[in-house]
Amino acid sequence: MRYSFIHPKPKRRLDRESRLLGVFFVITLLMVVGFSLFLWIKKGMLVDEIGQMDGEIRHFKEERADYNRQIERILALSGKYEAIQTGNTLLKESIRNLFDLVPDQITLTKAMLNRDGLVLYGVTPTKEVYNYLLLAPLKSVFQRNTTTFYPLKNGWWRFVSVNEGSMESGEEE
Amino acid sequence: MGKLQRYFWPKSLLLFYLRDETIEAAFGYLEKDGPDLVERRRFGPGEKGRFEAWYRELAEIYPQTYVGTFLETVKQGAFPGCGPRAWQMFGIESALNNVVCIDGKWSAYVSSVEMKWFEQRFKAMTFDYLFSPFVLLYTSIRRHETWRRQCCCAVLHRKGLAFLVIVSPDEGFCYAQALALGSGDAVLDGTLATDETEEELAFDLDMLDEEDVEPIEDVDVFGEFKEESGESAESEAGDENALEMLEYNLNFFEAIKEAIERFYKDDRYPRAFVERVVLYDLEETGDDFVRYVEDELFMEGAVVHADPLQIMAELVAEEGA
Repeated sequence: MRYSFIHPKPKRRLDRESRLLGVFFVITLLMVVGFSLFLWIKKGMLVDEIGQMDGEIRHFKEERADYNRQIERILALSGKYEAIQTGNTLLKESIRNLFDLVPDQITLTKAMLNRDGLVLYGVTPTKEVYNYLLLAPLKSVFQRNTTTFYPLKNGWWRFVSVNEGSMESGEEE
Repeated sequence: MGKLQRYFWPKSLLLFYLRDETIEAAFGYLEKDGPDLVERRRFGPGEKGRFEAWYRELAEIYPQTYVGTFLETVKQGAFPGCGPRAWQMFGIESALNNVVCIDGKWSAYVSSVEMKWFEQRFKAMTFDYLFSPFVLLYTSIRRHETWRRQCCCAVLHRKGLAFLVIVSPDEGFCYAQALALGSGDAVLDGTLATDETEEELAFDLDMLDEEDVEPIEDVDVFGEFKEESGESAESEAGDENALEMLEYNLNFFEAIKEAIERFYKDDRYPRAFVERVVLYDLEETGDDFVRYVEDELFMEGAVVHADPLQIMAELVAEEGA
């Protein structure tokens, strides 16, 4: 229903100060929202990076475990190699000593050297040669010596000498 | 929301009207449950600047402040009917007048020049509502139950100027006229002023002679006034004032009487017999006027305290901001 000769003029909802306040408020709000958005995006990126880092850490842990296993294996191999090397050196030395022990008159046909002892097969011209030239040094090395002679057609003797209880290994009778 | 609304983007009102050189103003809020005028101020002669400063202050605080007033110019009026045919019938040129149709039944108009002049008087202000005093009167009289039973003549009066509206239960709005008082003559709106002048006055005098009714000027009203006034009229100055007041009241009464006679005589207006005169008085004319009405016109008279600010506030709320 119209009663007035004129129509009311359109009015602003806010006064100048309120509008200014509103503009500042909107700007502040935009800044806060923008900063929040920035933080949110940054956080997302950091979470992604943390995820990636976790993956890398897991990967590195797995690699480290792998390397540790390899190191252990290498160390074991190295130990084994050293043991073999030592064994071989000892064996080599033992064989050299053994062959040094054997006089020229005696011929060895077979020799079996193991951890428990030494078994020698060979031919000797006489038992005395054997007893004086070979058995004496063997007795100084082994604690138990058992020799079995077999006569050959040419007058020589085949012998089998079983020597056990190496004094170096500390084995006692 | 209730009164909370006034704290959040309130719609507010600054309404005022002129009483001589005095500005009666009120500030209030337009709320869902109606207008609420919270502050009234009176600005005396020469305080227009202070009033405009108040307006600026309010407009700054409340950007949605609607300014309204009613036009107290003489060149305005109202007539039954709406539309070009009614305008033509009452000789209203739409190019020279602002016309508003009320309830689809009657129209109020004001001279565009006078409206602009009024707006120029308050250049510093932007008006949102300019009401016709006839709309105010019509709205006020319709709020009283009496108009449903009796044909009422409502008069809004301030010193020197009166606006008259006749409303009947059957026809609704019947007649309106702006009256410039002081000289004793009613200043009519454009249509009537051209149509009826001396002839009508002559008729009035003849009629008075024929009916052997004693003219109101000859009645010893002053004597009665003196009796009633008693001690207040002791001094000479008091006597002069009382005399002036009496003369003014008589002129006012004569103007009302003539306006009613014009209504009866003019065939363009609906037929109705005025039984009651209600004076919405912004001054203190009061009892004398009622006595004249009752004694001379044999009608019921009543004086009602008018609050144009509250009526305007309600009109604004009804029209919607």
